[in-house]
Amino acid sequence: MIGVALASALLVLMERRGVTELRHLLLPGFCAGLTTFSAVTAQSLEPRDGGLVFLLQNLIFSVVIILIVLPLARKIIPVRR
Amino acid sequence: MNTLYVILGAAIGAPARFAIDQYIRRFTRLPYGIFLVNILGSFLLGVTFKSSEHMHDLFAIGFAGAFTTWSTFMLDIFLAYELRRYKEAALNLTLSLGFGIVAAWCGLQLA
Repeated sequence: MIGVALASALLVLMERRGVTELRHLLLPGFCAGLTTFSAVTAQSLEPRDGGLVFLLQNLIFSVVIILIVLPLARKIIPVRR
Repeated sequence: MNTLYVILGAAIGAPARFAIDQYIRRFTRLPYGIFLVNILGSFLLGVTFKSSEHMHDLFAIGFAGAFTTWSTFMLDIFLAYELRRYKEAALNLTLSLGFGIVAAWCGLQLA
């Protein structure tokens, strides 16, 4: 969830301020590396880890985080003229 | 020592994902690269799930963990939705999760 929030904010930063080496390191490097798809799918198969409820929780919380962070970042980070 | 295995796996997994995604994005604007790495990574995690501790740390936690990405997957879906590409967003969501779970299950059966 932290990775999703950071990635959302960085995406807006890259959209509006351009792609620098540091931002490239942070978005596809750090944020994408911090979050993992494989563990979510594997744990969805484990009923004791929550199974499909765990998958659903991940989906819902991720969408909620994006819905909060993306508009907020777009408001805070202005377009550079 | 375990941390070193995770670091080594992640150091290979993250650049491999980036390289595959960048290569596939040359031919299409659709997120096929992320789809591909997520399915491959889910399979690999399943295969190495029950292996020895060091192999598990290197491949399942380090490599597959850094190779696959949840944040980019979610952002791709959300941005497609924002751009009113509803079919693309729905297909990405259902196919990625469907194939991802099946790939992880197949990997676990082979383990």
